[in-house]
Amino acid sequence: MSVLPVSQNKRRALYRNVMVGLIALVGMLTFASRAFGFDAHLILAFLLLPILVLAPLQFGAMDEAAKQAHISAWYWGCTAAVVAIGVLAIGLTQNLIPFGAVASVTAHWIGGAREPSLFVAGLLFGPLMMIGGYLIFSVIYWFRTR
Amino acid sequence: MRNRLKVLRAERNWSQADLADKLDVSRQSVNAIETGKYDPSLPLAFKIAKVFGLPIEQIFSDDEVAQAAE
Repeated sequence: MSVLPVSQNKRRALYRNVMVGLIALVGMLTFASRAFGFDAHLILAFLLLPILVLAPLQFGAMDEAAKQAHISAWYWGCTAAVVAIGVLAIGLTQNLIPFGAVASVTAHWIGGAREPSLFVAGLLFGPLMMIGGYLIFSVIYWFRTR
Repeated sequence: MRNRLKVLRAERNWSQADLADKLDVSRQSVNAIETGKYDPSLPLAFKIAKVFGLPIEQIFSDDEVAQAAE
């Protein structure tokens, strides 16, 4: 017998609360590790792993209007982010955007970016992973629905 | 897509939360369907019809058909 609530509404609330709690914990730990100077990388990795399992469960239990809103927000949000990253990368490589301005922000939040080419490579790695994931799941979806 | 969800709900004295509970969806979904911001899937439309005890076509109507009827 399942220990999960029978009601879909209660089930989705449970997944959502656990997910939000985990993400909040990840955020707080990240800031705390920066502020107090301790190494939280291993704990953060362990906290991120359950999110990978919870995300599909939460998505499956989500009600359809919320799911549609989520799909739309991810699609438009990520598309806009990929374009913005592309513009930023071109701007940085062509010296149209001063690297110092970007580096000062990242230096404050993620511990520094001193080498422009490495920074741009890191910048482009995110969208590449996203597009790779998109292609993989497009193929899976196509095979499941053909 | 037009629907008579709000009227049917009012006739039964149900709040959006009551209907959401019966359909096992969020209250926001009921609100989005009622205000025409979201068209439900076919399974949810059937569930709505079952909850109200009416055929789907008495709850939902196509915009063009409804305009022609007016």
